[in-house]
Amino acid sequence: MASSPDSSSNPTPELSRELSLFHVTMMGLGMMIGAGVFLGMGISIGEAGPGGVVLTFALNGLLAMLTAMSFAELSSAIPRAGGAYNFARIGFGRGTSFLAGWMEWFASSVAGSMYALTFAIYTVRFVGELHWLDGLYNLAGYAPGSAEAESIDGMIVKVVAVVTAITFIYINFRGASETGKIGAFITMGQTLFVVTIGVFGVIAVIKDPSRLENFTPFMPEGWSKLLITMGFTYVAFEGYEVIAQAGDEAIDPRRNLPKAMIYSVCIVTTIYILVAFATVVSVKIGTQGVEGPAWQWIGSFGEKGFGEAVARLMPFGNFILTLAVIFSSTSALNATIYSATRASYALGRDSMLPKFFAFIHKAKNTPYGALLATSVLVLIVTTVLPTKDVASSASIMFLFLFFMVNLCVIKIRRSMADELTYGFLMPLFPLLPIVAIICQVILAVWLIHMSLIAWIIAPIWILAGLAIYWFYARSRATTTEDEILILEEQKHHEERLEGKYPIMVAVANPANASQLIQSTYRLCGAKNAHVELIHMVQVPDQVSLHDAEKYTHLGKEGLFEVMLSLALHFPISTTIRYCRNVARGIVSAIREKKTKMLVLGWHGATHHTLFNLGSKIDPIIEQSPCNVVVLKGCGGNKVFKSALVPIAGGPNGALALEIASILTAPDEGAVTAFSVDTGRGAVDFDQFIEANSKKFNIPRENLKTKTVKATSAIKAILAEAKDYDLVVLGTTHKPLLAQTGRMSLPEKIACRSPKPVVMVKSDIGVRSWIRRWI
Amino acid sequence: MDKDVLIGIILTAAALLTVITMAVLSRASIERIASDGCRTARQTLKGKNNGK
Repeated sequence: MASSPDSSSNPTPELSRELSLFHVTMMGLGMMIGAGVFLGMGISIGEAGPGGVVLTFALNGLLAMLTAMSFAELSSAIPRAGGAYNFARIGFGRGTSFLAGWMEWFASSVAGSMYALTFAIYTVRFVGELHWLDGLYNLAGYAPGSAEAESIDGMIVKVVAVVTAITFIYINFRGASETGKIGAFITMGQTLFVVTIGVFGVIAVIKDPSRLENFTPFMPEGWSKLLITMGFTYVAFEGYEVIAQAGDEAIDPRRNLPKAMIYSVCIVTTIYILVAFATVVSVKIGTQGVEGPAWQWIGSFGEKGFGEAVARLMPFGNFILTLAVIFSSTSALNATIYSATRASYALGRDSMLPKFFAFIHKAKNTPYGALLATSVLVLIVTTVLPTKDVASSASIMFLFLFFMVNLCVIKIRRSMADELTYGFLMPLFPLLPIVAIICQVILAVWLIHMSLIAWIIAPIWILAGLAIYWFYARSRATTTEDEILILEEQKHHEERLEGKYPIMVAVANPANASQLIQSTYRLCGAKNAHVELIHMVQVPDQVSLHDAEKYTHLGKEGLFEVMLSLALHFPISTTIRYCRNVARGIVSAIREKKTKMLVLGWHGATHHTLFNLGSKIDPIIEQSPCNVVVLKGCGGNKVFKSALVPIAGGPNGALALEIASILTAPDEGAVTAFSVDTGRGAVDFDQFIEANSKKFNIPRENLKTKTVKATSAIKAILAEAKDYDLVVLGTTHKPLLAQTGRMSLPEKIACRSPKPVVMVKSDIGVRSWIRRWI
Repeated sequence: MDKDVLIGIILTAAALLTVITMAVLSRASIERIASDGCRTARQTLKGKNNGK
């Protein structure tokens, strides 16, 4: 009845797509309104005071929304089961993605254990109050309420927790539809109960405004306690992670997943604030049994403080609370098992864990191998570990995981802006994920004040994951279509390359190659370079990887042509690579080869309305971590006797001067640095050259300078360019995507100039990148 | 009113208001992208810049 992913003779079973917006929103809500809030409320009041607990949930909601934005954007672009694991794989590669999936699996499984235990604790407490367990105590020979009877309670709690976990493991085995539908039903119930508690709190204050005095003192333990309670209760906000796991099973995922994530965070933040308020005002100071300030009294019960408070707030408080906990814990348990299973399934699917994890049941369409492994983890943790440390461990792991996801959203938008199809783009990018990252690091560090054990368990799990990756997953992981494949790599020289300047030349076809030869020859000669010729094969999405080689014919011709001209003079290597996106492939190769200069050709103005220089050139110029030289119309055996270099004062202008001096004839060539004074002042050439002389080699002997006054810089430069053989321009350093609006001045000149044009961009370094990002 | 209480109320209200505003704006953004047809990030932002 079951199938393994290796059964190649039959089509591989896929997860069924049955979950609507309502279902996935309810899954997220179900995971959030769980034990996290019930356990966290009492402890947080004790730690941070009455005002602190309300602020804890309000500020955590805001932080959760920031990360939800990242999840929403990534899920809309990569709607596949695996969530954070998939994001990390596409953003950072195999090692990071394994770690993300590994942490996600642990965090969700441990959270599941916590929910099972919470369900059991509250159920056994309620049943005990009804004296239904007295017979059991008598059978064991203990008096009800005695210490021995409490030890039996502890055992019963563990048994009930295990039975509950097994029940929901079976429900998950039944399939996504059942999981979503049962989860949605339970979540509706739990939300109703929790909102009822909040409404009773508001009514209590309206009837008796003196209950607001419970908020005095507002922050008795100081504001720093907020960081501890925020970290501890963060697990109560991590429901959007389970929504991301539903990528393979949700209907219209690009639209529904981001919506569900954002809705669920908005709903729970409102509910949590309401419930925190109700908890604080639930008891009246001076009533029977309440000693000292209300916050201290509630906090003294620890994780059961919320229960004690609600029991005094409303009629049948105990009963309603127990129902709420039963609904919420089981719902969250259901969602966490679902999430943990999908995380480990994704690891198995990509051969990072044994294939067993990727087995899908043919009849149920559920990943039963991953579910079984998750079940073992959940049941072990449920049986062995204490609740508070388990909750802290889950929180730390989720904080680490979300930290990684926030990094992924920045990396993926920057590197794959032209590849992925997005259903949602977050506003204020990349400010929101950067703020979230900073906050998550602070909260994770501060959690050490809540649980030392959590800070021991979490690193051990991460180290174990690293070991498994290193010794098992690294060599077995399958290549995904998002990666870049090397089809052919050849070294055509025997020279040692130490001290040589690495120049990469991107060759597309023979026509493009002829344009590159002359200029590349000059650049290589001036720089004492070794040359890496690269041809990126862009194979359409619908074509199999195995057919990639069919697209290399023109590229090989081009490479051969360039080699004929350069191989006698310089050490040359060639590489042909397959990639779905040429720009990303070239940028990746630059990083790998530690290239210092990239040379590529440009055929001229594009008719595409969305890009300035072209969909391939734009991202290469923006993202290449090296100097970039783009040649237009420089083919044949042209000898440039005069070059015009418009200067605006930036580092690209200095590189443009250096490149112009290389490309012009050695003896009779002249370079003119040109500045247009449009009323804002002209460039001081002496100062400019002096400032850039350390980084760039700008010979002064053939250098002339010229400044003109004009109202339009473009017109003045184009008019001046008529008298020169070559125009060399520095590109602008605009942030990514800002260039999609209109063309910058250098680009307009490059498009309109009738003369050969060279555009250059200098490597701007790490500090400048950070400055640009922020 | 105590200074801590005032700061607490302002922070709570601001956080909740921000969360709700972000949710409303994000929903509008998702619907707009869905009606225009999902595209790459660069194309989507370009469309937005053009007032589409």
